[in-house]
Amino acid sequence: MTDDDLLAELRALGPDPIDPRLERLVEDPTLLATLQAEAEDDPALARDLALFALLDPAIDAQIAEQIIGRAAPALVEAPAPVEIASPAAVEPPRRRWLVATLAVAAALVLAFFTLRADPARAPATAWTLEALSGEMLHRDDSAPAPVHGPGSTIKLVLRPATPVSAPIKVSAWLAVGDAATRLDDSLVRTEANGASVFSAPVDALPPTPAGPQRLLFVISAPDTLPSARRVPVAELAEGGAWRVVPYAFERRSSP
Amino acid sequence: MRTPGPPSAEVDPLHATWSAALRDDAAAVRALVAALRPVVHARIARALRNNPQAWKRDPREELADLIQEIFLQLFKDDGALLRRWRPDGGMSIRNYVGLIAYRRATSVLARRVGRWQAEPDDGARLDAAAGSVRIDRAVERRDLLRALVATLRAELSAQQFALFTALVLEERDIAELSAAFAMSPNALYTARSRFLSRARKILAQIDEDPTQTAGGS
Repeated sequence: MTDDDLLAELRALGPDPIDPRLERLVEDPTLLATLQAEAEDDPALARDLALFALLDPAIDAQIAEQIIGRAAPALVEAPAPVEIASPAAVEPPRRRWLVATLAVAAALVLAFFTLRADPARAPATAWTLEALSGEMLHRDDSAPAPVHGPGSTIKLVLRPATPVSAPIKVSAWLAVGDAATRLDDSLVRTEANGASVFSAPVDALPPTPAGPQRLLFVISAPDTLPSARRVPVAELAEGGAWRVVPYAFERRSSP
Repeated sequence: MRTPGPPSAEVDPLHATWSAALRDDAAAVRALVAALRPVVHARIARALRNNPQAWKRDPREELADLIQEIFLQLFKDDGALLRRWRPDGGMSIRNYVGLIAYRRATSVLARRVGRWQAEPDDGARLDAAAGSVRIDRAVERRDLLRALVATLRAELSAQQFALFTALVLEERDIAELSAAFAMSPNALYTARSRFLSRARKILAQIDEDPTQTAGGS
């Protein structure tokens, strides 16, 4: 497109049907009273004002907490902190924004998943795992599986159904076949309430053959993890003092 | 009058926050969302206002859902869409995100209309029969250019935007503008060329958005 083409298009626009004050309103609330007064005699302005009028500022915190993996208080049905040894497990609330996210092929909610929890020590609440990246691979005989290839980043958010108040440790392991390799702790960032973000370029993971594999997130008190960097998967499952949340994916050898 | 040019990274007050948010700094994510949400709201409200045939629910619900969805898309894949902002791309991070939000909201609404046309319920079928359920490409382009003008209004000083309006949108006589803005004809032609160059640069940056077909509601 040439400058002349663009100039012709811009000149053909005609007046903007949207009152420019409406777009300024979201930044300048002092305009609201004037616009409301005018809208009383102007149904079209009243309709527009319904869209541009200020939103509850709480929406900012809700959006930010969804992004960084911290459950926003307004979205948690049982906000009271739960001690790490509490036996209660609470289902998280259905979240409309999450349903919208599900429409994006790369996003999915995987599971509430608990293995071999020791009621005395393991973090007792249920956990959700949400994938924020990865293409979906549909097989004929199974549920869709996320696919990650070279150059991509695996980004996952783990959330407790209810905030934890005692310290926890979330470690990530890459499991292929019967063996699991512990990944660097720097790949997992855990907030005080237990919500954790895992972010790792696929290329930074230990080299493994292309194909199905799993990330295992072991959630425990800080001093109860296996000390070895490479363990049989069964050892994680039989440790007893932790919960394990798996993320199954297909590793691809080409982008 | 200073002739228009792209803002630099140094003068964009959100540059450091943007950069930290992309490194998963939680405080920066909160600050960035709070700073960007008003412009995202404004542009999505514009998209909804321009496409009333594409929504049936309470407008505030539509608005809140689209704002949340588009923020999630901005941060998806390690913030791929946010990372595409270029400090020398002709607009601030706020207005870049605003235009991205506008385009994505329009895209979501257009796909929704497409679904309704493919699988109409009774109401949608009646609307389609009346010819009203349609988002025309030319109309979409015109609305995008209006969003572009709104972006330039936010980017430029009041005096610069007045000059842009007179020179570009209204095609006023150069001699008249020369007197009104105390600029020589050559300076006015240069200013017009720079306005158009900046507008094209902004459109090119938006057109590079690789995820236009992703998402939906």
